[in-house]
Amino acid sequence: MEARIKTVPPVLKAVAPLMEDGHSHESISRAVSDVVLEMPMPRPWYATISVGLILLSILGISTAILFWEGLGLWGINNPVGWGFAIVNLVWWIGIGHAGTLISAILLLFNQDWRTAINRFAEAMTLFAVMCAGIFPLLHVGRPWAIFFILPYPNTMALWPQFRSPLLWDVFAISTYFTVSLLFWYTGLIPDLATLRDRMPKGIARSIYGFFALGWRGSARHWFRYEMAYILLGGMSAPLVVSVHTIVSFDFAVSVIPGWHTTIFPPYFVAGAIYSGFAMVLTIMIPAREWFGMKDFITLRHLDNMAKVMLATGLVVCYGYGCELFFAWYSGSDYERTMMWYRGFESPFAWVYLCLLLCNLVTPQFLWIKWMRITPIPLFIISIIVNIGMWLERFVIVVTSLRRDYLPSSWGTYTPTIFDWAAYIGSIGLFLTMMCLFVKFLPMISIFELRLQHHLMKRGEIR
Amino acid sequence: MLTNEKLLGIGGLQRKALLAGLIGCVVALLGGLLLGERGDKIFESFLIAFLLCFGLGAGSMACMVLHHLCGGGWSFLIQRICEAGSRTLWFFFVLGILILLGGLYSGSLYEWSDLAFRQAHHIVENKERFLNPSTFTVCFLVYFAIWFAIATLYNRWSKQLDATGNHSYLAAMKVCAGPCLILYVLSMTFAATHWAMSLEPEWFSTIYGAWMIAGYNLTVIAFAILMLTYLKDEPGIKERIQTKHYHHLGNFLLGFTIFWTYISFSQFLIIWNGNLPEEIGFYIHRTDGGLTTILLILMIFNWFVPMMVLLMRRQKTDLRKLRRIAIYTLVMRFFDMYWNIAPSFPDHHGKIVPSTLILSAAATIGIGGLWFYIYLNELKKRPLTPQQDPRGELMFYEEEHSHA
Repeated sequence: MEARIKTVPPVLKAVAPLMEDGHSHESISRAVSDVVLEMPMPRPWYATISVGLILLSILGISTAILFWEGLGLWGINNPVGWGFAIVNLVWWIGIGHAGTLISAILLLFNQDWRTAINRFAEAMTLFAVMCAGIFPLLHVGRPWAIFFILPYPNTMALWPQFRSPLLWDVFAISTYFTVSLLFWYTGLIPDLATLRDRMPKGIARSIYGFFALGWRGSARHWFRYEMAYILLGGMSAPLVVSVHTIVSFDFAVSVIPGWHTTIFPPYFVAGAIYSGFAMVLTIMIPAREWFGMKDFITLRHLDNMAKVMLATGLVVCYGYGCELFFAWYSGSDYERTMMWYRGFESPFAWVYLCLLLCNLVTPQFLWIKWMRITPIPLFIISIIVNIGMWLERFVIVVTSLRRDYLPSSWGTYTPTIFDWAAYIGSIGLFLTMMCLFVKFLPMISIFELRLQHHLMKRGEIR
Repeated sequence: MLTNEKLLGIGGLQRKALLAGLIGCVVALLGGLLLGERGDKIFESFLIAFLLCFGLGAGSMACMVLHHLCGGGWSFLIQRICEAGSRTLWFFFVLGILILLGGLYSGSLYEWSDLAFRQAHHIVENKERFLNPSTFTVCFLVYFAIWFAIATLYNRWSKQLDATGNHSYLAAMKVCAGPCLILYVLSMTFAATHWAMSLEPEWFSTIYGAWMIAGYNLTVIAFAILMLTYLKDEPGIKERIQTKHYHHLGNFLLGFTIFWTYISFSQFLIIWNGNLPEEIGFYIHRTDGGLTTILLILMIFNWFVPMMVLLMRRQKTDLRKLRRIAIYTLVMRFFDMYWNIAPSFPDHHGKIVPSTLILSAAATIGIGGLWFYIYLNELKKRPLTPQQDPRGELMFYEEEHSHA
């Protein structure tokens, strides 16, 4: 056995280790928990939360006016009854996919590199789903009556339409949020105990202690924790796929040309993972710099996330290709006209071309290794992908609705300032929540990093 | 290389495969001649068998390339099993000429091959540039040219890596894997459209290519499990194989079972809910009459039962049980392909035609038997695991450390 290979040959070597050298269990705990306990927040954090709060105020003000005046303030009308609201819902839900994918599916696949990024991505998932939830709430017009969507016996004999995928959305998204929250919280418990133990006596310590649920790190605690975590992982994995599949059904089960297409479910799921990973990179690349996490979130993580983004981006491109080819192959005049209109004749044809540029051309740069492991170009690509995925949803929603089967009902759509305010306001909510998360909770799983360090020392992982 | 004992065993297996293949083909041919008119029955039953068995060749090639793309330890032990499968593509090329092109030019398979039919159907006429005999033939050659190129390149590099130990071949396989898989997926999508979807020329589904690819993945993983359990005591495999490898392959079988179901159900739900005249015929043809029974068989035995069984760890780590599930999956693949293809034939809409069912089963045994004979010949030509691939050595290293 001694003669056997001990080092990985260059051809199989990863771009960087999972964790840089020179760390101990103590230094890991300090590096991550000091951000919460000791370290003054860096200036970019203040700048980000300020921007977040300003945008959040815009959301608050615009929503208050919207409640007062009504939905007429938005640009929606017949035939485009689904405007920015559904575009933003799908975009945010898509972003919310990366967290649980990283946490649950990569956990089931035994992917060690998830350790340093799962906590961050899970938090992002929760906040993204919260942002998504705003839009249907506002779009129903009477948010105080939103409980009508729930099936409960009532004197008005109201009963939801169970054949509508919009109702499936309610159950899918709320289940996804609940399980993601549980998964995130379960993973946090050992680290909350670390913060409790490192914190001086006071209210904050009591709060961390309360949420740590009396964690003492005994063998029995760890056994139960592992069992709960893997079970939640198993439950979350199908949810990741189901949520965006159901979102795709919102469109695909209709008969509108451009919506009614069978490739939508896997194409939407791939698109969700694509945009989710793009958003993780958008947030993580600056965060690892500002909070000194480069030793734990190494170039290996960036490389792997870029590869996932490339792979899912290619699936999305396959979806675009299938839509185009089969619109022609269908031989149906409606399908062909819609696709021609979408690409060339629609006033939003430029949006379609931009989305191809963002989602088809840009990710091809990720074939180049240098682009995958150099933070700035990768950051720029991730931003472009985020924009591209938003444009994709815009094209799907608006161009198909503007022209249906009946020329007399054709119309147009122009988003108003209130549409934009709700959209950028939701970004403000997201930024604010992310900043608060970084301030009050460990952004990387401390105990999993310690385990990773232990396994690396034993040579079980590299 | 195979041990002498195994070589003798394989010799016996080959003879049986050849015999089964010949008997299956003769039965299908004679039955087709007796029961059908103008040989239609022959082409129909052999098309179902061809499309099913083709998954073994094309799927093996895709799995081989995927191994180099992902570089996971799970696939090292099935690498040569897949390589041997990819070297049998010529067999499907010959069969394709006989069955696909034969069926096309004799007018037995594709209604649209008749000019009068195309002119009488507005929708088919609209896609005449894709659905015409010349384009079909040229595309057939292009698809196989792509697959031959990929299979030849990878097999050559793998052989040279064995001979020289030069890691640059490994690097080349890794670099080309992504583009090769893209080519595979695109060519397979178009091939599925030409060869299978166009049997109902007015129908279309954007997910159809992915559906075929998902089915082929399922076929090849089930087959690889069978071969690995058969070869587990052979040098090269014996020293490396552990329970976790069976577990991983069982997980992949589970994953592809779910993926196939996901694609199938999505397609069904969207088309059923849309209920558009140009689309819904596909499912009316497949749910009327006794075909609902096959659909139920598929739902229960190709999805629910294997999924529930494969969710249990002990089913994936017990070799006998895993082998049984793999055989069972391959049998179910036949029903899936029959359900997918047979109702497309004009006189098969909405009913099970027993003669076609039996003849296509015979043709599947025929083509499958002949293919397996050729496959084993290819398998014997090279050592069962790559000789100088560092991943093989790293498996020992990981094994040592996981017990440290």
